[in-house]
Amino acid sequence: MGAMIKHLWNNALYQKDAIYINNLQQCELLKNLSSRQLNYLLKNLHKRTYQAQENIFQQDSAGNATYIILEGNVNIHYKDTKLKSNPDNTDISILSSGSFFGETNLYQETGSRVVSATSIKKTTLLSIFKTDIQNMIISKPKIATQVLLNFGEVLSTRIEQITQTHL
Amino acid sequence: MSLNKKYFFQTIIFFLSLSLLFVSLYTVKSLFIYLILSLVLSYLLKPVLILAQPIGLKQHTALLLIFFILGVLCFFGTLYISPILSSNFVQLKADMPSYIQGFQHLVQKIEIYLTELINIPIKLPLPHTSAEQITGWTQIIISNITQLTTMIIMVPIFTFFILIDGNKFILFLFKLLPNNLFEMFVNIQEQVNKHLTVFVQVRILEGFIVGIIVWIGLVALGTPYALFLAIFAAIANLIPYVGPIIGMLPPVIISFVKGYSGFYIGTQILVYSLAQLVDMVLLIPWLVARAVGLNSAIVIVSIIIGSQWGGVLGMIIAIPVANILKISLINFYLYRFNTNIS
Repeated sequence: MGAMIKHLWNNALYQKDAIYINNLQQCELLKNLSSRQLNYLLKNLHKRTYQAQENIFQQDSAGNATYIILEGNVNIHYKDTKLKSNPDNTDISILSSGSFFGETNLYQETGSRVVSATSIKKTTLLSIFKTDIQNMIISKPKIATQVLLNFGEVLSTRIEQITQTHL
Repeated sequence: MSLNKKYFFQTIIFFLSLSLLFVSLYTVKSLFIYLILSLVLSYLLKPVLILAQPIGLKQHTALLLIFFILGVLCFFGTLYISPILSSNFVQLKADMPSYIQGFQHLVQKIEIYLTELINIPIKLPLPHTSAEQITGWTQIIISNITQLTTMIIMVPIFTFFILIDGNKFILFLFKLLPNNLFEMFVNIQEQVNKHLTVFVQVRILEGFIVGIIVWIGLVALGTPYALFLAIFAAIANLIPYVGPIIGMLPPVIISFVKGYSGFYIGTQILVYSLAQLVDMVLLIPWLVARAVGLNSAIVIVSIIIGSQWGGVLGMIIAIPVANILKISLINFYLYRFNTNIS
């Protein structure tokens, strides 16, 4: 019996979930959430897997999901279409597990992406839409409030950084 | 396999699974109707479930409690309403042949009047077919009542699972989608869901208000089968534009056949108009403000197509189906061609 439980516990699925939860704990957007709350997010939000070099979203295309990396790496790049007729791709950053991207469009109804995101290797992402937060405000208010607080913190830090660079 | 090929196959598999689901549901007609009713009930219960959240009840417990309260309410409601409704129904069934005959006489009179007026022989197609239809409908209603018991058991069970596990089913279905269509479909699903929630809640509330006002008015006027006619008006009210007129026809025809005075018929029409006025003043601004608007011409065309496809049920679900198509088209253009056509 004990061996069976141990086998189940060590099952790949559980291990994968444990790794994902560990990575989610690193995410700035989800800090101060318990493993149980993170597990709820993992079970109730859309999980997507991308192959290496697959487009997650493209610059100027419509989109409003925010993605958190559960596993893998994502390249965020940008083309300055205003300056050149045939612009090169400029890499902005390479993100790893626990990072998030696409958050600038989270609260827009029909926003368009300012950058492109491409997976570097096989990558699993957790998506958050505005509706997910709206639903959670009703069904899981504690999780929703914490996510919104974290989001506010991220925003205020960024505003502070931008202000300092422009002063 | 290249990415494009993978996307293509995933899209095909997604739409095949969706079509298979719809076709199999459509083949088992009773199941299709149970599912539509369960969806309607789940949209109605959602706000009640939200109200139960702050009390700290778990979703399962809250739902069971809601079903229990609803069951008790329905039981006592039926105890009070069913004797009135069944006596209405029995009386109407007994009187039906005389009404059909009276209605045919009435139409013949109109035909003669019109023929004399414009000097061309006129034959209205309505009375003969409607006589058959009316007797046909009464039979359908009687045979449907026997299915009612299965419905009373099945619909709450379906509703329970839609409310508890609906999200898990959507998560599973969306796993079949290719990555390049994922965001678009999440947005379509979310907008359709919002639209249907408002549509169902407002429509049912409208029907309820119209039904109550008509019932009170007809009882005050002493019209026979008042409850039956009020329920008919409430259901007919679900059809936009023509519904209120369809709902008003039976009492007016009955009064004509029975030879009631013009003043009496006028008062009846006034009761129905009052119900429409209250409905318009109270609810329509709310509905227009919150729901996705459709052009009036498109609404009428959708209703005609709906009536050809599925009769009264088709007419009722024509508007949400047209809206779902509109939402899908707007999102398709937005995500595939980056063009906002709304």
